[in-house]
Amino acid sequence: MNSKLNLGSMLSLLALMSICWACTPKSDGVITPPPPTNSNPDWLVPKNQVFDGGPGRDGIPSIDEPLFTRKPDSLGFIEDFDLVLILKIGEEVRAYPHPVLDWHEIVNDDIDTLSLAINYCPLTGTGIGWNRKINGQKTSFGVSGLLYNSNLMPYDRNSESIWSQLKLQCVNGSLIGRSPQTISLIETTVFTWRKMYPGSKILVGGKGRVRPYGTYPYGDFKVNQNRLLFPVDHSDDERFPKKERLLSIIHQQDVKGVPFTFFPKNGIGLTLRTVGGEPVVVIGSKEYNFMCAYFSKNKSFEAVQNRLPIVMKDASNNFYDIFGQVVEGPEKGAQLKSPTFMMGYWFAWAAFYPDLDL
Amino acid sequence: MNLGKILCLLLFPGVVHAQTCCSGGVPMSSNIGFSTGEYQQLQYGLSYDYNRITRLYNEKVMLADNNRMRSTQSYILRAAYQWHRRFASELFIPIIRQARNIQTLNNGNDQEISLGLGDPAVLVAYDVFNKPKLNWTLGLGVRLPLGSFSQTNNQGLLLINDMQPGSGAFDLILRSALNFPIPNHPESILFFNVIHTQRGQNTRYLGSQTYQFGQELQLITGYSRNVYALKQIWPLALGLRYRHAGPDQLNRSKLSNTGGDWLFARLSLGYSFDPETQLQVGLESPFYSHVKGVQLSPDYIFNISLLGKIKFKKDEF
Repeated sequence: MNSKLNLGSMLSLLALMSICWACTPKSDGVITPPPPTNSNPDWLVPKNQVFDGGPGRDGIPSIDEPLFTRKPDSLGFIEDFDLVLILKIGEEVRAYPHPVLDWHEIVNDDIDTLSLAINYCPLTGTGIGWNRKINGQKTSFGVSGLLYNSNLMPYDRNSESIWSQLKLQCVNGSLIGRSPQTISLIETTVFTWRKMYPGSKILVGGKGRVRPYGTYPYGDFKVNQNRLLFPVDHSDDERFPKKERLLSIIHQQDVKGVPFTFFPKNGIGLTLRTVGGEPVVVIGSKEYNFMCAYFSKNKSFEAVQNRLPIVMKDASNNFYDIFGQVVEGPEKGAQLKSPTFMMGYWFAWAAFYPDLDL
Repeated sequence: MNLGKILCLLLFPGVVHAQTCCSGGVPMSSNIGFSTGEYQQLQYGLSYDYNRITRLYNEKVMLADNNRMRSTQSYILRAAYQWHRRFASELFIPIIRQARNIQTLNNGNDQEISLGLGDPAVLVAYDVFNKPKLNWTLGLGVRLPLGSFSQTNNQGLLLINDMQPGSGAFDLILRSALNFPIPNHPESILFFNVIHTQRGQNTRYLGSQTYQFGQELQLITGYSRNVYALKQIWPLALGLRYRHAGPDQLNRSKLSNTGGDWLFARLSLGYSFDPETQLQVGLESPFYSHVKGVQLSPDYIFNISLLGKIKFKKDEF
């Protein structure tokens, strides 16, 4: 037999065998990460569970020159039901809407004398502010393009160290081990923000690198309870649906989770927790879609209805706004301190804090 | 020389499917496919493709943001052997270099590179018609998941799958190549080609997830002829290529920002060193891009190929 004919026939046979193999049904995968394989001293998280998200460093552009408006209606992409992160520094209230944050994830902002980075991860639904002054030097944060437990890993541009948003720690680089100084943000709806602080500023984007803010970039991710894009630890923890939004309160290595189910269907409610040995009052509302937490210093509070942004009062008739500041009463101007708190999807809390108390 | 063969040699080497962020896969499917050669003839090719991708699109609209560049360079060795008067087999071995450059917002440059064996492919081609007035070839093949898909970045972290040289999946490739001369203009050929790539699943994606690149369909049509100049024959081809890529799927759920439709214009020119050896140069650029969601889209694709053939047995007359 001709040897060249043999070569051709073998190639053809290989092709046909491969086609049969290719058509064999494959089983579904699961969404747990690979087991940690090392204790690399350069990383405080398992290096083999840190994944490249695709766009690369700064491929998702942070907003470094934020633009705000007091009249978002004309923009066409801010709806009453959209979620926003709000904060108050001095008398200034600012809102950072998810439709913008979904595309940029980090906003480097300055309010009064405070330089902060708003870090928001659309895959875990978690947002928090970090002080941008580190070791006395002002830095800015960018999106590293890396994910750990499907969660944002910012990098700081002075040291190029990589941080974990939900671990609240620098996990690689010269600042390894350092914790950020946090500024907790309140997540609520555009409707509630407008009702509480009409005329305050809302982020509408940044200079350059505009994105289609009216379009959510992750398809049905927010509402599909079974869908994860990257492996996460403890994804089999089914105490809540994966995308259920919970408030987590983090203080002194202690973490408490609070779901909306603790609050009444209408109006505003309070619930008490002890976090890191300290009493904390949690204020929440299903109707107005927010939860926040403050150290109560053993004061007793009761919820106040129909007076937003006032949400509670104490026994001395001090009335507190949603940011924990006394806005009426004998201690007007006083401010309750807050532990670190964040809203986020259940799967993220289960992944980072599997022992969290509910 | 058979014009159909010249045509196919011209057409296939330089047509590379677009590699977009999150939806590209490995850029080789339209490189596949020699013409059916002469009996007991070996055809070979050595190609280099450069696919530059910098345009950020939101659906059909290009966004004013060009801080990212993706590029795919492919070094491809191909060989086809005509072991029967109607059947040929083809082997396709790529080496892929993927690069991602980003101008970071502090004016730095972040670059990631992967380099490795891509997924080789084997095909069987059947010559339905091989007449002077009609040449029609059907092909069936498979791309084998032998390429590397565990490349890491400069920190030792696993790169995303569309930065990997290999896909980790078996793909099925179907093609049809039809060409015929224009009546009364035998030097001028019209060609119509269809290539469908049925993407398989990588069940080892990020450990144990399942990833499947979008199904791909390409329609290629054009016109070629030999131009006589400087005492040389210069095979020239003008063509259009339509590429449709379906959405990628992760764990059987469709992914946003993947897939789309593109229409490319292509020009290629050949130079014959001798009747058996040719150099082909091609350039291709999209004039219509409609990505799904927001994605990077190709600027242009450049290709250069050295092609030849060896007859192992003389014709029997």
